[in-house]
Amino acid sequence: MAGNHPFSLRALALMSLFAVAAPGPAAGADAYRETYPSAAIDPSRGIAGAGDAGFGSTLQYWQDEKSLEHHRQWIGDPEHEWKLNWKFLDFDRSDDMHPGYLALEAGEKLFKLWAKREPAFRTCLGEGKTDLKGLAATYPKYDPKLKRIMTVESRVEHCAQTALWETFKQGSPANNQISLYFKSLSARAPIRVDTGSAEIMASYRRGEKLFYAKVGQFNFSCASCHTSTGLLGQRFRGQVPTTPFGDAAHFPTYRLALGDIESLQQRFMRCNMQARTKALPPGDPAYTDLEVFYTVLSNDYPVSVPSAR
Amino acid sequence: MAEPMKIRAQLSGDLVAIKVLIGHIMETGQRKDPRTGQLIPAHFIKQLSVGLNGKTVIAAQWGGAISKDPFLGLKVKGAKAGDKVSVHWEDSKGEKSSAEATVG
Ligand code: HEC
Repeated sequence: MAGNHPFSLRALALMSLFAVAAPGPAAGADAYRETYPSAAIDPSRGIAGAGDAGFGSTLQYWQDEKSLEHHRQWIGDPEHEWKLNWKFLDFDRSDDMHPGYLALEAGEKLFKLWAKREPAFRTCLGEGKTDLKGLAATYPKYDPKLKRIMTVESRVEHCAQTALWETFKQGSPANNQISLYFKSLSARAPIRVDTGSAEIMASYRRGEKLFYAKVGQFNFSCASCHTSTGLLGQRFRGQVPTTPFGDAAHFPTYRLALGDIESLQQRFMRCNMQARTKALPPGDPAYTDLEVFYTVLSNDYPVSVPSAR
Repeated sequence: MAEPMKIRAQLSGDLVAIKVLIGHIMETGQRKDPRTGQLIPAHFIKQLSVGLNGKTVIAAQWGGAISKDPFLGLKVKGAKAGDKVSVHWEDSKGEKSSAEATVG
């Protein structure tokens, strides 16, 4: 049937393209947005929310090493593997033979080089302290002096600017390497984003709204893929979207598909682009809000950097 | 050149499991720089060998199809604690690297 009317079909396709294109530029920042139905999240529960049906109820399979060990027969099984939230890749710590460690070595070298040349770089990262252990597990956090929310990456950018007079833009190799090293100094420390802070919670609420906002050519929200009423656990383009809970713990990660370090916000960019949405630059306030939202959903889960995915 | 290389050599019985992680760009020579449209020159490991106490146990000819930061795993019989594992590679630009580890 359709084959008989190639011309009119093409005309129709063209017309619909115009219909999509026309309101684009004129609509501006306050464009009407549809919202994906939201599943309730209690931010004070941290990763515990991953046990809820709206997010796949997978917590029981990956919450700790024992649960992962118990379900290790699922590794490589396309029906079940997604339930492990890829966390089994973190617990293979018997040796340091994944390329996340190469990235870490590069980051450590770069950090030590700069910190030796200019000790203020270290104390800036440490907010006055020289010992950086455990600090990154509390990010993102509100900085009352700078009056803004800082992520690990924006702290590195800020300190490079003020202490070194260098530009380590977020998403650049230098920023990613140093951020990865900084975060690795909190390896195994439970993530503790301060949900008692009014500024953090305001950012969390904005991030939550973004998570459900439909955007782009496909009119997809993050939730369209990363919740159970959406595609969570369904095969999709050869991949299976997993729960948003616990994700922030292993970033920045060495992404095997890219052969490079990927920050959490660079992952947001990739998800946006895959859903044909214009990605924002790393460090954009909207991505910072999303990162706050995501990291609160990883609260109580141990940092696992370096990692490879 | 001074790329990092990690070697592990773990013994069980007389079998040694050797793992090698090599930091290398492994550029195929087929990719174009999206900004300039120019081909990115090839730069990949061509020859790689692993030795146990100086005797070659594997000699490999690699090409541009091997991934960035390659990982190599092999098992060799007849090893004992204290043996020396050595890895050597040479790439398409003539750069070389060697590293050693002790079986334990
Ligand atoms: C079209 C479907 C789709 C959309 C829309 C989408 N994602 Fe994803 N996302 C995926 C898939 C598939 C993966 C890879 C599998 C996995 O780990 O979930 C992924 C992975 C991720 C990861 C990495 C998980 C990990 O363990 O490393 C993060 C973080 C993420 N997405 C965040 C987002 C955010 C934030 C949005 C909204 C801006 C979003 N995604 C929108 C499909 C999508």
